[in-house]
Amino acid sequence: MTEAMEQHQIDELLLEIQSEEAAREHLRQIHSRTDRLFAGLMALQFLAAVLAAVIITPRTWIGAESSVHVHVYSAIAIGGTLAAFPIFLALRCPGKTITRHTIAVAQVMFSGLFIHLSGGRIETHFHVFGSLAFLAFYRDWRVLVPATAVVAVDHLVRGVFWPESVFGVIAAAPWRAFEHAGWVLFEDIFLAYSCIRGAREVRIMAERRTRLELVNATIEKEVFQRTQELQAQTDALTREMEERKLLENQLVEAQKLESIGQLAAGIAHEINTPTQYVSDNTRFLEKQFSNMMRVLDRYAEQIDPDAPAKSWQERTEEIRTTLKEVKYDFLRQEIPAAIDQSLEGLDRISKIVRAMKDFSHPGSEEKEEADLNQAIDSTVTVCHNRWKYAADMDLELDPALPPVPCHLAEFNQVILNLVVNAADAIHEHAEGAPGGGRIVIRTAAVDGAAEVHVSDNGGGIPDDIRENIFDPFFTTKDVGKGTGQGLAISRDIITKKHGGQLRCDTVPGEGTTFVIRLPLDDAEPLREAA
Amino acid sequence: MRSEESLEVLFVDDEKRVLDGLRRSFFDKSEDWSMRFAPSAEDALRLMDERPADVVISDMRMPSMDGAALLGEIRLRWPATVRFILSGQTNQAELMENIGAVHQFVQKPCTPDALDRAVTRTLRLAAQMEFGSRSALATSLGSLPVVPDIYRELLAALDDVDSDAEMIGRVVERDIGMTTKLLQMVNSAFFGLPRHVCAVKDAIVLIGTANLRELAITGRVFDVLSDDSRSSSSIAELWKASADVGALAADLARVNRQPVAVCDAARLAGTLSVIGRAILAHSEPDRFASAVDEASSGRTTLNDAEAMELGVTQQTVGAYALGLWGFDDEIVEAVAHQTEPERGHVRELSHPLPYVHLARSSYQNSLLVPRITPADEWLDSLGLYSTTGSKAA
Repeated sequence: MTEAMEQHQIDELLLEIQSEEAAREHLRQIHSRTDRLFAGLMALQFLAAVLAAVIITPRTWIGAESSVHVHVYSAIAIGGTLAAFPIFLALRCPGKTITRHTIAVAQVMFSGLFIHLSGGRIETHFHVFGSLAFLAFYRDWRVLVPATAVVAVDHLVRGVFWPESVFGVIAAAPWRAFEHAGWVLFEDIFLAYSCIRGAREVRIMAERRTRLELVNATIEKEVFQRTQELQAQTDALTREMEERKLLENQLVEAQKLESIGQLAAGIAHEINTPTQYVSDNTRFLEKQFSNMMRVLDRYAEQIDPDAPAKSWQERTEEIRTTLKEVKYDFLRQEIPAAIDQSLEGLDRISKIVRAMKDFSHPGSEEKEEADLNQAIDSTVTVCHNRWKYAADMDLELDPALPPVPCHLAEFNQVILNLVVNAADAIHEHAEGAPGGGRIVIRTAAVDGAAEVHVSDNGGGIPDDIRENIFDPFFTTKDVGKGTGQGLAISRDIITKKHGGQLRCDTVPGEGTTFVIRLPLDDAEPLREAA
Repeated sequence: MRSEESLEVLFVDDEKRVLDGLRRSFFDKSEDWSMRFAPSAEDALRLMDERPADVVISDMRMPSMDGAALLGEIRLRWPATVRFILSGQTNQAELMENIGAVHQFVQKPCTPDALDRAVTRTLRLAAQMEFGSRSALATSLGSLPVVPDIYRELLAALDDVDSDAEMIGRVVERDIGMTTKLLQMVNSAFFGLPRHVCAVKDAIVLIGTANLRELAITGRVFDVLSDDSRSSSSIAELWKASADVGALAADLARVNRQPVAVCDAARLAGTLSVIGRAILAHSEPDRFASAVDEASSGRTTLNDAEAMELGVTQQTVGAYALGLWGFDDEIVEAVAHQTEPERGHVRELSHPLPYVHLARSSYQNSLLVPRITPADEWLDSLGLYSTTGSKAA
């Protein structure tokens, strides 16, 4: 509170100083302006004095001799002096105190000059009153003091020593000078009063203006501040939006990496298993090849002309023994199976490797026409390890499905998420009583859209969480098993990046079907179905 | 053990082609091995019911019942059966979590020779140990008990950001239950290391402290005794004594200017030298107790009393258990022959046996690990000698 008061006092003081300064400045302007006015007036008065001298008393006669009257010379000399110095000051130092006091003295001395030139005409005395009123323009009562003093002294001195010059008579009563001075003082009272009021008005005006300026400045400052704040907010918002966009992209990427990380171990397993039996079989074939060669060698001996003669009996016995030794029946049976299974194993491995290549198709900025059936087949192969222990997989892919414009890498990610979810749902549902799990993926072109159905016969989604399944970070899986990003990101990918739809049909206890719909025409995103 | 009859081997894998491949691979062995093949865990249990197998080699991931569950079941119902996992999995953490009932992991793809060696080795050990029917004492064991105080210390060390593998290793080394489990993990074929790891701190580096922390916390890897367990204090004392023996053996190896690897092996063999006692006390508490009584009366040695009461000695059971868990032959031999080294064929100073024998014949700080008589002649032949009751040099 005291602090606020102190601040207020400081503000007031500052305001006072500022308004005082403004008032002084305004007065200075008035003084300068008036100085200039008087400079002009002085010049005019000088000309008027000379003209008056020439008109009223041009010549003087002493006997027959006529010469230019002394008035003319005195008007030129005195008037010139009176006018020159104030004009000089007014031009040289306008607004200075000395200037206006000098002007005041000079002005009333002009009055004296005019009175003298007019031969002390009483009417010319009005020039004094006019001059004083004029001096009041300064709004400085102090200029009236030397002016009045000069008038008084002039009247007094000339009234005593040269009454003709001031009153137009040879002899004047001394009180006349005092009376004139009294009238002058009488006017001074009003003029001083108006000067003081004028000056005070100037001060009040100045204070008002200063206050106004101050308020204006405050408002301007506030407006500036607000503008800046608004700008900062706008900037922050823009930045935030950019960051969010970046984060969203990173999230998609992170979820992809997470699922790839999970897949990697599974893929290794998927490759290690066939490698095991391919290598077992190949080693077996290597060993059995030598056994087969033994049999062939035995046969070759039979047709060798250099070989010793043998009876048919001996020959059959020999062959029969060898066949028995190499376990011929076993070989007949096992070798073709070993070759078949090795080839199957190699097919399996190359299919996985090819599927990995398809699945990890680099993402592109632009959509590309893609064969969704093949993409689904690859993705299912890549994540074989994730579902094979939970379910059988049926692919009912419509071969007539036209190419669909899409971001293939991200579409694969969605399929992967849905398949993994389906496998987990079946696994959870079948806890304790495994077997009978089934995942079906079906594709078809329906009404200008490609539809992909991913169905499982797991436990379905309970009513109370059905609304949450697409929420980020929502998961029912154990800690460490899922981040809860899969469906949120899948929906994002399908709706935002492809202008498609992702919906979920579920019957608790029976299973869940996720339906992806992608527009066949890239230019026409699917409208949100009712 | 079954030198006369053929060995019963049961393969389990949900991929029929893997079973076919194995059948063809071991076709030549059909005279020594009687092989059966089960396409699922349930089929395997059915076949075991018909006729128990000596060795089960199972895949890990299978629909419904997986390999870990199958081997767990087999451990309970057929404790004498040797239990192997043959898996294509590469996820270490997942495998280690399921190590409980598993004697050894073998990584797919593996050559028939490697699998053959692993199987044959355990059988050879069993034959050497002259078990008769008592091999189940070793095979039935899932893991050795862990002292709760040391387990808590391990958790604290794992949570401490300043602790490194060496500091954590020093904690683990004091508990034989944790030591054996960690070394079993890293020495299983799954890690595919070219040599056997003997130092606990190396094992911790290989597993990684983060993994170890996860494994320790799940509580599925270590068999931690409860604080009020009756055997808890005696196990704690036994583990402490064995850690001392291990340290002593390592010192002796160092004094004899052996390289670090030999010192590590000597420490490990010394530390593990008395696990047989824990196994016997755990599996046959009453009979073992009467053997201890018999020996303490002074009429006979503990080993003879064990042989009489239980049909095996603690060294034999301990060595066989280590063999089952895939420990190096040297460690197995050192544990097996620690009391009577002359009965083995070890004649090298780079073998841990001399140092374990010396350590055992000089250590006398615990009644649980009684001092043994030094085999002076055998030591002489190696150029070593012992001064009874003091360290040898």
